[in-house]
Amino acid sequence: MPLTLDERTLRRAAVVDDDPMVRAGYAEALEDLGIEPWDVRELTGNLSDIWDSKFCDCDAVISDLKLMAPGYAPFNGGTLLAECWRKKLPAVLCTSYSDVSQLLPRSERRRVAAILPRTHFDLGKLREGLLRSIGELEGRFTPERRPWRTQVEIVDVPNDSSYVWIIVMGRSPDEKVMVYTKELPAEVQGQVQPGMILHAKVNTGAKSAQDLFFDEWEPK
Amino acid sequence: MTTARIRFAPDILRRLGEELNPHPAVGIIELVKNSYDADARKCTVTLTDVDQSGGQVEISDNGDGMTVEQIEQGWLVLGHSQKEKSRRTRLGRIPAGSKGLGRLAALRLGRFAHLETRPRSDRAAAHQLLIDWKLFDKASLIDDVDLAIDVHSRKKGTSNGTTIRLDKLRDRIGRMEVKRLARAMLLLADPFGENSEGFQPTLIAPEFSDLEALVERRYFDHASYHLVAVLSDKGEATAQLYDSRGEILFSATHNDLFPKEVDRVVECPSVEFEFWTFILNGITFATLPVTIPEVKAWLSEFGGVHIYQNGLRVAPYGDPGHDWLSLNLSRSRDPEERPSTNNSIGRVRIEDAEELLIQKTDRSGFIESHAFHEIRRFGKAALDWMQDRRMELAEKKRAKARTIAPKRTSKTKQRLDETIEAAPPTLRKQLREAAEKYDKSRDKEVDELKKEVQLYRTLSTAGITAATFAHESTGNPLKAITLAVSTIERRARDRFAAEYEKKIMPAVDRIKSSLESLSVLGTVTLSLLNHEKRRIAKVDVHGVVRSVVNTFQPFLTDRNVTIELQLTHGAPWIYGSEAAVESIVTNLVNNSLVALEKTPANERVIRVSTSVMDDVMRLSVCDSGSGIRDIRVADIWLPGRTTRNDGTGLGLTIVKDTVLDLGGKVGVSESSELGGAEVFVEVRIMGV
Repeated sequence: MPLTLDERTLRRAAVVDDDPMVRAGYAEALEDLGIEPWDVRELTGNLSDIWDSKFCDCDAVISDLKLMAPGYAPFNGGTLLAECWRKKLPAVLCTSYSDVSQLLPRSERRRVAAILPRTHFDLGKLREGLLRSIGELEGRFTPERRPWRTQVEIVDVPNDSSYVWIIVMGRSPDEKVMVYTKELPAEVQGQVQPGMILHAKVNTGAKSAQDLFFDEWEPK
Repeated sequence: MTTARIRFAPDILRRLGEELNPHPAVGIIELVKNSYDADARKCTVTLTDVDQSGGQVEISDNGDGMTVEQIEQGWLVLGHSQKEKSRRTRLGRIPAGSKGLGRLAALRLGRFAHLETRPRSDRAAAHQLLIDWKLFDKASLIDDVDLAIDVHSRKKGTSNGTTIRLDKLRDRIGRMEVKRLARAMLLLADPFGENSEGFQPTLIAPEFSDLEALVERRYFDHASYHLVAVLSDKGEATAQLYDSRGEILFSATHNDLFPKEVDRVVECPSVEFEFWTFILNGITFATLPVTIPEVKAWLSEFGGVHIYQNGLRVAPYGDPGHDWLSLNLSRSRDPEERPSTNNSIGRVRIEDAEELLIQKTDRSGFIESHAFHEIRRFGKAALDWMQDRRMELAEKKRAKARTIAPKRTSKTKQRLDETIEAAPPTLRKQLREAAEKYDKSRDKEVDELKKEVQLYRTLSTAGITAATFAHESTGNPLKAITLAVSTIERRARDRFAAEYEKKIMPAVDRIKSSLESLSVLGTVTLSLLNHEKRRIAKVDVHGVVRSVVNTFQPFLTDRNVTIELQLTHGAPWIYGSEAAVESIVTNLVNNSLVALEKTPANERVIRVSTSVMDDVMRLSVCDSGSGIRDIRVADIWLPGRTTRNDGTGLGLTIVKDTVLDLGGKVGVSESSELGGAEVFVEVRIMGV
């Protein structure tokens, strides 16, 4: 019997991972949830071109973050989930990495409603992740994920580094958040300096700094 | 039917002119550009009493001047560019053109703007116009104010040209603003090139003379590398890299510059990009007739990559803070052989008669069109190529140094032997013995160093291999096992109900616990190799201690080791790399873990403590192990000395070397409060 979450029926879910053994594990979990797994063996080509052939019959997606095995996919799971978000398809990102900051830009993190660490994988968490993703697609956010237009201040620009430290208004002034310079608006990347004030959409209620996303940066 | 017109209140003049121009210099530069368009060769800006309000600015040129019609239909018309595409001036210049908004801003700097112009087309005439802005302030509409153009005969011997005088300045022009203007004027007509246009703007101000003297120093010949990249009008790029003597080191074709986008042309006007990089160190400058501070001062004023469109500079590219080719960002990501704005200068010359690149109305650069992005792509590709070639050179130098060093030593030895042979016979024997002793101790030192280098290489290889496996294992195999165990657990629980807990769960739990330990190995390895940690910056020592302990925690739990932190109040910090501090703490904790291997499981304790006395911090790690055994205490720091068959004997050596690099010292106590040994390091801190 298909799984119904928040009035949405999930009959089939695509399973995306570059290792067939991992896909098999996710498939078993989906089966136990009552969802038919759809084994995605490769994703070669442009995502928008292959979308219909790979995902059009699916009601949800479970994907790994790194899809680096040769010939599997030319993009990573963050990009895939961002596309799912645009297509209004619930999706959960499963990863082994405790720190996803280098692989998942903070702007993309806004479109990734649920990240499930490998060490915490179980049916309850998977179900919870799908539920959260469905909720966000319909505009319902948990306090930790709700985006707010927020002022952020660059407080430290370490020498010869590819990142800056910022503080987010509405959060503790002692909490310095690392943001890669390349993720800042293009026009300020070359002139970052302490004291620079910017505005962006930020989930200021996030539990930890690592979970913060920054999106829709406003021109300075 | 009634006809009507849109009309403008005088306030629009203030909004359009002043609010679109952030600094007086921007507007004055627009007037200087007008002189360029009028084919002037000289343009002089004179500032009188501008350090207070009420002063005067005069801009005077020897260009073609204007007729009455040109004043009426061009100079006084705002928002309409006088530039016709592809039109060139009498001297063949492509007009800079403007919508007149910058000029408006400049003219409104004072209460009065006075124009006198002597047209080339009528050598007997001179025209004058006075604008009193107060009349506009009183009027309801702009059109309500009439301006009189006074036509009169020119004084005999007066040359063609235009003089604009701005009287009774509303605000003072401070020193910073004068300096900004001086710099903008100096850079306007490419002072670094041949100045083929022959245009010389001059500012009568001391700030200008200082900068002019600086700009004229032209240290280009002392650059270590000179990159010349050219983009043809067909969008095909080529590049050459020259050394300090002007010899070509490398040449590149289009496909060399764009190896990932071969055969894709660059879609923008033709461009010539020159870039000079200086290696600001004592060795490079030892033979040069200039000093590092001189070149630094020059680069500080003029460094960065400036853009010249049709002969005139387009601000703000190359200004401080406008690193449009992301030199500093690229260097921070990949520092080796990369230039920064502090040690380089560059110029991008764009021939753009078709005006594919359009400047923003507020003169804050080009509209970020496709053509502009393409120029940036070309510039970055050339810089990337230059870095690769410099890396190639650096690698060759390193290889050469390794071959040359033994030969040089052998020659020196031969010379020494000859000198000894030439010494008086009474001294010869003593000298020979002393030289032999020296040789032996030196050979011993070299042997030790070689062994150490080999050990470090072996360890590096082990590290790289561990990292590769860590990447792999943290990824798929561990994930596959976790998911498989999860399925077994779930389905077995469902299938066997109460029997599951008795018969299957203990085995499943053991697998899960082992998985957690395996995960730690991968996480620790990858965490240690994070390249960001090797940057020199402020390092919070307590933060690093906590991070290391946190990373090790599952591993420590698995081995029944309790770790105690007794950290002093505050957050002592040093200036160094996080990797260095991490390396110290990790190796000391590892060392204690080894010492605890034979200690009963319920007695395994490691304590990490810190204390600060004056500006020295002592970090110590002790344990409840059996202390130092089977090795002399003094020998524990020697490389390769270990009491374990499978140990590397490098942990404490690395600690000692790292601490010495930080200017600190190491020490050891054979016994501690916990019973085992205590190893401590003392380093000078910068703050708490």
